[in-house]
Amino acid sequence: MIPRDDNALLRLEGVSKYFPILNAWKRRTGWLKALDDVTLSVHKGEILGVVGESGCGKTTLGKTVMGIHPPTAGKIIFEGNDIAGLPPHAARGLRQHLQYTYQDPGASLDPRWKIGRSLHEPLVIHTELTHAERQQRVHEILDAVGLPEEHLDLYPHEISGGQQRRVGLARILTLHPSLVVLDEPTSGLDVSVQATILNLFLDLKSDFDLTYVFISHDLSVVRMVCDRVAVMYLGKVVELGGTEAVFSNPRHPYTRSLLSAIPQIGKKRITEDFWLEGEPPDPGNLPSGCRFRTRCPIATDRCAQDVPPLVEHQPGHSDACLFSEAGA
Amino acid sequence: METARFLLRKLASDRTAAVGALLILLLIVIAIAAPVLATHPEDVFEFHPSERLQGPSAAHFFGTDRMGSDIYSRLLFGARITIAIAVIAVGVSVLVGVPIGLVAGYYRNWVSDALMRVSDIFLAVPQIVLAIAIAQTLGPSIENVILALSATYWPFWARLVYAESRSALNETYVEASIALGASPWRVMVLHVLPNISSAVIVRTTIGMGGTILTAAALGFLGLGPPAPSPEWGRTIAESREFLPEAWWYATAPGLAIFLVVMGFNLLGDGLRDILDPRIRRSRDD
Amino acid sequence: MTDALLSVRGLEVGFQTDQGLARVLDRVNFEIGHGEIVGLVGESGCGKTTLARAILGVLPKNAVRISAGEVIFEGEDLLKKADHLLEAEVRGRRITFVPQDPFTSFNPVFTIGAQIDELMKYKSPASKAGTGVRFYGGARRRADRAKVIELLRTVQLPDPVGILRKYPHEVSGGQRQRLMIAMALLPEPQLIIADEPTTALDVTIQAQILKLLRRLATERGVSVLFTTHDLGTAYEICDRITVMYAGQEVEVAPTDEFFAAPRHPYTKRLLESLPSREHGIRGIPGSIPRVIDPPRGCRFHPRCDFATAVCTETRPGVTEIGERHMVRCYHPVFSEQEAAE
Repeated sequence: MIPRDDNALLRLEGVSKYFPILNAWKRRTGWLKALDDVTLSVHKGEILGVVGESGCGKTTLGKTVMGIHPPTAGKIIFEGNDIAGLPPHAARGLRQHLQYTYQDPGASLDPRWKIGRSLHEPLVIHTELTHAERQQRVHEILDAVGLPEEHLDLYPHEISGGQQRRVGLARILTLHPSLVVLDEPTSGLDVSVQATILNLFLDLKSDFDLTYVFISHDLSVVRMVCDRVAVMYLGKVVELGGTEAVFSNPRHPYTRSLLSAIPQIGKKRITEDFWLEGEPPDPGNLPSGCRFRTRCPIATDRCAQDVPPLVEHQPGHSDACLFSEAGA
Repeated sequence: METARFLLRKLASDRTAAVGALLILLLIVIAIAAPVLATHPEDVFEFHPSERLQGPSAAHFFGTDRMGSDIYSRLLFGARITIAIAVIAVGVSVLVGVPIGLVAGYYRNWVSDALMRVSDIFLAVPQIVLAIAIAQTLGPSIENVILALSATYWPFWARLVYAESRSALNETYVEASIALGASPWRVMVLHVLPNISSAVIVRTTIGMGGTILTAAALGFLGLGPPAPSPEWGRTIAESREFLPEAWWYATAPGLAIFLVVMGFNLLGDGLRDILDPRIRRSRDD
Repeated sequence: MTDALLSVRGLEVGFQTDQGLARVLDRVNFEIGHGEIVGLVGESGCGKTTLARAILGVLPKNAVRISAGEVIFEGEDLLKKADHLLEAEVRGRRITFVPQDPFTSFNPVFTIGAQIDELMKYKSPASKAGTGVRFYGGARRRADRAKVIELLRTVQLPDPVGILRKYPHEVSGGQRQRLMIAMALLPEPQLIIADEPTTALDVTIQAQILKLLRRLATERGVSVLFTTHDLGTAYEICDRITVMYAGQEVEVAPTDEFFAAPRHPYTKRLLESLPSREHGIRGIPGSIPRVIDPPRGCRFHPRCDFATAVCTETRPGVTEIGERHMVRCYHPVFSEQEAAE
């Protein structure tokens, strides 16, 4: 079992999020289990990576934590309070220090609002500061993210994508958050620009004493930046542990196939003997027991019976496979 | 305000919209300056039976009607009634329909269903029939015309705003605002409403044209303000028995209605081109 | 390479915009040999997609200005060919296309089978190029259908017959890309242009698609022009790689040599900015130039550590480094030079 971690800044306990599947007559024909019984903790000061392919639930995880989707079950404990099921405006006080950045930073800014107004908004919502006090905080944050003051009078479409990203960051930093969920922060960026953004995140982390949940499909970036990583498949966490441990010694067959799919320049080409076949099963109609068993090379009948729990086979390194102890 | 200046510049370059805007401007000027522009302002109330049914002349630009009153002057004063009906009826519809649409758009529960069902019910009532019913019970007047029109018109705005706000709610920046903890009020009024405003503006402009047409129809049927009101539809009704000899009697108000409705439609079309999505992309020229 | 299948020489392409002429391609040279998989690599704004479109002849006609250059395909300059002939003989027949976005590449209201039939009607090898097809006869249709099923099996689609009856939204992204690859192979082309075909796919599906594409292209001797911004995928599948920066091609080399011994300063910096434990997180300071008013000479010079005066005046010519390894730089980087710093 995973030991209870009372020093965790954020803790998810048995969080599930099911979306109803409706047929043409709006009758529910099944459930899409985007998140299923997810339990994990985020420790203060760490960068926890959440990786997986499309449909694995990592985006839903971010949004459920933020309260955009109310969870179907489970507890979300942030700074000691259970915020599960409370919509953001109702739980304003409790959620103030929990913030989120968007994959498309330009889209997250209201196109008809000047940037200055967008930057004031979080403070207007959460605090009782006067305009002058808010302006001062905004100026401090502008310095921290490296944006010129003139930008306050511009509209989002008048600045570049990189600057929009900084504005998005600035906006949440005005509230002095303790935990920031980063949703695909480097997706779509050129490799040479990626480094600048990653360095910015790391600088801000140390300047503002932040903790990050880093949701990404880019495993090489996750390896560089994250302290621990959670691998998700079809709504469940299948492996969780320190980044180096998981990357150099993956225990779950899915993690192994995922890592072996990453091209490694200079090494053997994966196209020569990549073995994972087929596609993930229909998420509305999941296989019984272990969800990966339909594509797993070592699946047996046992795998179809019960859902393998996430077990900590080595200190700090858990996986959800019945046969991981047997070795690679 | 810079948006207004931007709009004016764009209007000037789009010919159809410019024509529409000019027609509307003309209508407003006429309505305001009617006492000054009219050659026989007293003819709104007075009549001169000896001069009845005279053709267009230098003294009477559009001729005289069956009571001998100057049609041109009565037309100008009729413009005031037309504007009043259009502005108030549409104004009430917007003020009622938009908030209902916003509330229905935000919530995804029985509230939204109920509101939309209510608006469906009102939509199903034919305007003319309701106007007749109201006129029968409460008597024909301007106020009752406005009442009948507003009661049946607000659902158009409710549905439009409902549909637009539902799609706006899927936008990332709205979600971002919600995630930041914005209250439903803030989300709908400060974020969604400004971003759907162009659709509402276009609908309102075109709605004015339709309202005027319907008001004229009600006037024609005798459900509007009673004699001796110079309302345009009533004037056309009066002219019926004197056609085709007194052709000027129906032509003048008919042409006036046509030009006004045309003006609103052109302006609305032009605004649609100008406002959507260009204004979002290039605020600077 | 004199026997190249496709040879682009000195291609200069601009787009007319409100702010002026965007010089998107600056006298680019590019070659693909027979049966070769060539990668065209670069970051945003480098012009790789424009180059691919220029070869296909599908650049927007009202905005594009092709001021110089030629695109020689099997001895013929495609830029000088009439568009209706290009449409009938070349596009979709001798040169086919696999697009980037699997989600918008199919018409959503027709079944997949109907769309493939449409393709075979006009572009199958059994039909004559340029003939208006009025009667799609029974025997030819059956033969074509058999070919289609066989090819769908080859791209490892489960239940090929069933999938033809489905609508595009009923199949996944990975399956759609397999279909696109099948449709690109059906006319038996000489060249397939694949524009970032795996960018939108998950990494495990990407691995499957790359494996498939490489195998099929090699088996059938089809050349592939593979554009991507992901160097890892280029490493996996390409025989030779051309890297572009801001509309200029800067280095061309066989894959292993490209990664082991890059010579152009941009290539070096680019490879170094890949996340790795040796380099940490490194980027390239500065930003990609605007193509409306690009830097003169070599467009990388504002960000280059080795730039000198000549770099700002004239674009470097081609320097041959080794066999089939060419670089356009006045100061190509060699390891002795690095050690000297």
